[in-house]
Amino acid sequence: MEADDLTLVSRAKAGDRDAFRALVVRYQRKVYAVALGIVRDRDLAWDVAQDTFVRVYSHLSSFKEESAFASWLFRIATHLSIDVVRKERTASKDDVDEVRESALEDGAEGILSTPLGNDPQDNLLRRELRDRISDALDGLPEKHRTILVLREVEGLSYEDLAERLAINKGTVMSRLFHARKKMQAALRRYAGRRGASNE
Amino acid sequence: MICRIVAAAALAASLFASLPAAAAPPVPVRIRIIKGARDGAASFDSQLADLRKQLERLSYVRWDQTGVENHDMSTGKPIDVKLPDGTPLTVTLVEAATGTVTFELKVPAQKTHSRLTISKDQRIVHQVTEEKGGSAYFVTVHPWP
Amino acid sequence: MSECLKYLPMLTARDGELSPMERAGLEAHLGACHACRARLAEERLLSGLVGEAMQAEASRRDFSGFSDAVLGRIDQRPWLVRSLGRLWPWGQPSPVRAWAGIAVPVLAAVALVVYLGLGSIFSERYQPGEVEVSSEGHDMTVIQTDDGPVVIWGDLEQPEGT
Repeated sequence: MEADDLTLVSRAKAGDRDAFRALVVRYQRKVYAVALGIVRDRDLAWDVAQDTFVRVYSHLSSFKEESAFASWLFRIATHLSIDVVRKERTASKDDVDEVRESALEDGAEGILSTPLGNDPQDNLLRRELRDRISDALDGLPEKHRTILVLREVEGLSYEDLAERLAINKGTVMSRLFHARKKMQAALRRYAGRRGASNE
Repeated sequence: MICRIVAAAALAASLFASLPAAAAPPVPVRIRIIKGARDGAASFDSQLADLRKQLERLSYVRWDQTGVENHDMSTGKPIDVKLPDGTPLTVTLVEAATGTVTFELKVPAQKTHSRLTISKDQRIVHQVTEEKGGSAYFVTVHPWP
Repeated sequence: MSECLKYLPMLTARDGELSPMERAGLEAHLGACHACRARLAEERLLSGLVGEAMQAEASRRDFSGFSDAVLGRIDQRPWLVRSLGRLWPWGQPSPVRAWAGIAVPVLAAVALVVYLGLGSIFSERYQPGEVEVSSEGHDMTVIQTDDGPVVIWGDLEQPEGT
């Protein structure tokens, strides 16, 4: 039976190198997935993922074992990913969190109303859309990408997102709403073109 | 091998003697902004459960968390925090020693300056605005949350 | 319209994330609003796609050398940091060398401290419960509890502003 996180952390703190390696292997893919979602570059995400574990190792002595190791690990991964992105970007004037009337008018037709969306093969639609996610994510501002990735890759609840990003629950909900809307708009453009080409 | 151990020992001794603070890793700290109110229905935000024993010493009947920030704090580097009404304040990690942590909290608008030393499993609750309309804001500082 | 604005951000809430009042309001609104029901169907179609896509990318990547690379980077940290780490039993095959690695620097540090009379620097400058507060125009009260101090303006009986 595999040791749980806290057992491995205790052993790693005591100098067990294999225990630390086991933690790396356990979480490497998910940490990479979170980093990739935010930084959008495979090589950068690889570096961020490695940086995350190196930093975790360096601060292992200060980790309090009453907390969840995974939360601490992904918090570090999130901050390192955001730091990488923010070094290069400038703030966009479109980065508002509140939900406005314009949200109701933009893109009144959804993916389900496109020719591809009307295709009875729902699995095919989903697979095709998933393959376009990368392009769609590339078009999102960092703030929206980050919250979407933390919600869907790490699986954080509204409460956890509020804590991780130091925003309140209302802002979590509206920011997620905007992130999804932009994602839908990008996928809708693809679904409309793709469906039309199938006809 | 022995030479390296001896050399490392000498260097370690001089470091222990002269640079204890510089070797300290950053301390994760959770800073929360909370609001106490005397009016309205009594309620206690579940996110503040760990502060219950401290907050129930005060006469506010309603407690809500309005903001939370998590920082990795280094000694001597202040963190700026903004209250919901825009009032700025700073929190600085003064010292993280073996069993204790010392923070400095300043609210320039109120010319308030506090330095508090707590054990590592404790938290600070500090009023940071005057009471208006029966409500006041507090800041909580929690190392290693 | 404003009802839709209020409930749109709630469409993708999971179980337990909305208060009972929010949940009831959302259900009632969905019952009456065709447009929001259509938006909900759209959300369900796209729900989880980002997670699936990123995890699919991660699955495609070869991680066989990742943990070695991490441990290699840990070992490549500056010699001083690495050496201080190696003075602990991590990776030491010999218990004698391991204990020597701990004992020698500790004894050297103690010798230096005694020689230079630097003992005071090892005692903590601040003690738990130590508090210094000042505020122009406010009386401050510090309440010490087992969980930590509470600092208020005024006093418990007569808080400022009342």
